[in-house]
Amino acid sequence: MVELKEQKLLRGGPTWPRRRWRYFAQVGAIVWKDVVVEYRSKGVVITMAVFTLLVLVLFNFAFGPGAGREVPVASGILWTAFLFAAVLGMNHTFALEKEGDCMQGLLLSPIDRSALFLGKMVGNLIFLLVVEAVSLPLFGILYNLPLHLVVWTLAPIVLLATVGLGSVGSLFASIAVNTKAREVMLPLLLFPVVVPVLIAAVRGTAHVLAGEGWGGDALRFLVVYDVVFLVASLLVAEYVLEE
Amino acid sequence: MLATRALTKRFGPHIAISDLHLSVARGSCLAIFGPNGAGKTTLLKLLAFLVKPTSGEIIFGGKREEAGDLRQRIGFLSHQPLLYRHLTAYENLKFYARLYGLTSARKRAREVLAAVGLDDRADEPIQRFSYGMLQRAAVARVLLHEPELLLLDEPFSGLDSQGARDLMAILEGLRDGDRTLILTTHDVHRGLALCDEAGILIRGRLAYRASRAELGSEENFASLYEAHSERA
Repeated sequence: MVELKEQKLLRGGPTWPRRRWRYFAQVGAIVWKDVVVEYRSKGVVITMAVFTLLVLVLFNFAFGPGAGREVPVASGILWTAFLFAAVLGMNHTFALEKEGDCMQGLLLSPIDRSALFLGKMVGNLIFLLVVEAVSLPLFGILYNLPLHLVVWTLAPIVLLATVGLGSVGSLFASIAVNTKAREVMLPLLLFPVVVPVLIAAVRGTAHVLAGEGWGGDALRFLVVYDVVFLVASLLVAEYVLEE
Repeated sequence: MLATRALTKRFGPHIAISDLHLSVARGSCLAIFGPNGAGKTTLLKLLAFLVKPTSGEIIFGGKREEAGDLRQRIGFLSHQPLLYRHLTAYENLKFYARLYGLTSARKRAREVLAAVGLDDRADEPIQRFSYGMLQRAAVARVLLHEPELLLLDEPFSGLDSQGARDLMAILEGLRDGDRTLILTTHDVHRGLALCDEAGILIRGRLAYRASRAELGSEENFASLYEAHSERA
């Protein structure tokens, strides 16, 4: 019944380019899988987007029209919404791997653990950025803020803070998913570590929304934070994802 | 082909595998029987480098290699199919083929699906599959990268008689003399039909091991297995 031809394998080999190519092909495969699964199940992005929009609308009711003049308040509301949406989303994407024990399938394959982590992290970043792209114009309208600032000038701050949230969040989500109370565990682990990102993001956003430029020191701080935590996350991924 | 030396795995105070010395020749099939909680799944997970041993070592192909390189040569059929229910059977296999770095992932995915008789259902999401079809899709996943060592964890459990017959035919087809099989099962009839050697694992120790010729009749082995299980 089973007749299988000899299969040529890219066994890595000694050459660095081949190993690198294979590494990024594996990362790409995980991102592709996460995006296709999300496109069909619609479990993560819609939940995150609805949550974000609800927070923005509710705070708008609470502070009344013209709240945009209180720029620090508006930027705090924005990052509160993004932070909790990120926690929801990252919990969900790792929980998906526990469903049917699919994480075991990933760990059985000869994939570098940092590639596995990077793939999951990039998937999470895509989902977060989609939600942010949908939410930001609405945020501008609800809080009476200039749309060119919210959509264009704010983009670097949002992008850098999202990378920071996504890298640390994906790492802790991969730990929390193996615990019984993962919904509680992820925020407990994540919040203390991302406090610097949140402070920088809120200050940078206030800076941008006040029309004072691209975010100043906050932007530089976010670049440093992202580099440090992205590298650290990739280095410890092997120990976190193994047994 | 495969050997373990003083392999031990503890989970806290519980000893799942205790000082296990095992060797399996290339191309042979070893069936491991054992009651629930005997350590069968843990043993296979250790051999698949899914969990790290507390002590002892696993030697594969006579050499000590990195776990990452060895995973390329091992196929593990778990209790779960390890497939994504929102993806089609073909998409699932194409995804795994890319993780294994296969040169022509699409072609290979179609080939193995045809090999397990799922070519006509390849483009359906696997959430529509019956358990028997899922198990065949899982076998296709395991065969994708032509592993030298196949680890099968209770492959017949949960299958109806037709499903078990279909799976048996697939597994018999894999006995090509080059591929090594280690399976754990409660199904004495099918386990013995497939194996060259049989072992009984009790509380993480290999309490009995014999070649198929030494085992005698199926009834003899079944009563021996029962006696070991009751003592456990």
